Amino acid sequence: MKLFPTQEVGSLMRAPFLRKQLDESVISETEYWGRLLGVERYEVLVDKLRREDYTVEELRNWASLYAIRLHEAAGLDVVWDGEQKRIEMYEHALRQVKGVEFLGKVKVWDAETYNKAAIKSKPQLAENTYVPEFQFAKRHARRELKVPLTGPYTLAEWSFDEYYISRPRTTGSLIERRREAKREMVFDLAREVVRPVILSLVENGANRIQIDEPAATTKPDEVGLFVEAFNEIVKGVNARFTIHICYSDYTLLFPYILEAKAHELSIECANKDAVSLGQDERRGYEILKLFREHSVDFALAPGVIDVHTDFIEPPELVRDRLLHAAKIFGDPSRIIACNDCGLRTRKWDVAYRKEVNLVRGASIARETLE
Amino acid sequence: MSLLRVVGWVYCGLALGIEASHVGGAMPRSEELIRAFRRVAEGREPYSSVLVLAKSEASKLIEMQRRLGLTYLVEGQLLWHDILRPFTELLEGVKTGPLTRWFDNNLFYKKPIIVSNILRTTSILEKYVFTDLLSGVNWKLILPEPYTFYRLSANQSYSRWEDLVLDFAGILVEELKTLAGTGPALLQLSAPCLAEKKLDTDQVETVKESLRIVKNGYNGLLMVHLFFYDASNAFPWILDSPADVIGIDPFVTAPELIRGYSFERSLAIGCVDARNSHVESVEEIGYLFNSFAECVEARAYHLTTNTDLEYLPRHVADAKIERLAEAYRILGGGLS
Repeated sequence: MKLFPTQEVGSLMRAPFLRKQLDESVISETEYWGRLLGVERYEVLVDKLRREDYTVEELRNWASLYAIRLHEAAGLDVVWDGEQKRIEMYEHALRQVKGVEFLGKVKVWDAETYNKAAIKSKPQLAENTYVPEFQFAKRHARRELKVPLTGPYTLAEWSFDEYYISRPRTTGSLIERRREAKREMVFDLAREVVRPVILSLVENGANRIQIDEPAATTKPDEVGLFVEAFNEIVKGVNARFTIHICYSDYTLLFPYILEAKAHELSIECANKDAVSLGQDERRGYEILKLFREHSVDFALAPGVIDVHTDFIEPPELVRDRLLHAAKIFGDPSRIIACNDCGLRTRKWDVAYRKEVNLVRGASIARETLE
Repeated sequence: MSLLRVVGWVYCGLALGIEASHVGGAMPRSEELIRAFRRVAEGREPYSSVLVLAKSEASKLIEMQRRLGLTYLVEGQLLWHDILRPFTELLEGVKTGPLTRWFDNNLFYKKPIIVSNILRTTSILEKYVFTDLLSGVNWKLILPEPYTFYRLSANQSYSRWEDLVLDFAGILVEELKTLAGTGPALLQLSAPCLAEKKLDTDQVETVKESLRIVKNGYNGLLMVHLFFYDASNAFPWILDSPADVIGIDPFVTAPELIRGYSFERSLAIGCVDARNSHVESVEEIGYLFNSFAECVEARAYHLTTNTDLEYLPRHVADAKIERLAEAYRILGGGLS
């Protein structure tokens, strides 16, 4: 296997033609990206946009294709469709589940909110848009695909509980009963929602799946629960699994993460790192020492691209981050080059240039070691 | 609900002396107000448009609490992005730092970076509180407890953390003085960091000193609210602090660890869970209230929420306030 394989982490900003206002500037942008990325028959889409003769489903398929081509044109080894057909990672997942009711917006920070749901009865997968989404991507992708899914712990942690907490429990203190309720909620979401999706994807040919668990360390005393739930959803499944956790205190993962049956762990590092060149000291990657000390047996995908800034990391910075990470971790063959997180908040121009440099930087890092 | 049990609780509530009920923190914004804030953030509207809408919502919120018979009314703190933000943005010596997780919630605040000794050079609260709606109202204000403020900041200036805590306490007093005419009848200092773990003797002394500074500079009731963590971590020293009311979060506090304590002031029990959408029945509230009230012998008790209601969509928060007030009435307080 080549050193420093490159991959993305899921989301990408909506394609220009999925925006609300479809004016001439959007059509020009669609034409520009179609040509630049080598999207086959993009002229058909442009023509449809001009004639206002399209369906929403058609546009979503085109968006999926554009995003796949963006990742491929940048040169990534493993790609996805930028989640162009999804609402966002939480709501999209739970919209397909029976027993869930969305209650309204709650604050995440400042004016940023999300539509938060309550679990009202035992959750069950009622719809599965992931399979057709994957099938479309599989038909069109020229590189290996990795499908991102939101993990059961995050789905539970980001939801209200109106079911498990209300079930009669005869023993234990209030704290113990609530702990038990949370555990049941996480495991039901694992068994009834996420695992069936994984099985259906694998049955349809998916062999790389990324489980997004940004909430994994929210409650330090529940990190073990997150790992147990992860192991439950991947039990006996023949696929390569990545866990993605971003903007978290990674020290809290230990020792629980050592039990996770994952092949890769993707974490955010670039956001905490300096942008100056150099391989000797890089504060964003200090955390890798902890992974080395614990002799983790999975590969690590430390982010070398910051997704929260328009700064385009030069290839040399990507190189230095990767070589430094490899040195700290102690095993270059288990370092994967990727972003901190999905590029959903960056414009396509910025996202594309970042990915191009990710690939270039990984290439020169590879040459340095080989 | 069993009539017999309710009658029992009413008797129990009266016997235990429930003297007040109030909301335990900031309110969620309505979806309309959220959208207005987003438009301001994107530069599409001036801040004044948010002010008009927030003030109208604050006014309705006050009216709702008055109608329901709550003892101390909040104006919702709808302009505050987080409880530290007015101080983060307006104190000299503080810079706005990165988004940081708010305890164990999917909620983030901007960390105050203390770059030099903190100094109050402008009035802060008058820019964030609709004081003109509160004239003649028995109202409650929620502010960060000084030690908690220090713990949630990044101190790059003070060589002794104690000085930062005491300086912040002094600033709170200065701010409260600016509200003198329309000052709050109840000041809640939100203090999760006092319960996060057991503090050592020096830390406890500094906390007590900071609370003394606030208490001495302010005429109303001082409440220290311990939430998110087991309040027993701050027992028994917190009972000996200058606070008039100690608030606890019964959803995370082990009753057996505070059983048998007594003190001559008031205990506020946060029997409505502000972090879950399940709207508790009066029966559930009563059961929880009594199971904690019988553990700690206090002069009187307050019935409140365990923390800010901003973790909920607005309509759920409103439903919880209505239920809180209903429980308060049935348990023997308020309008009854």
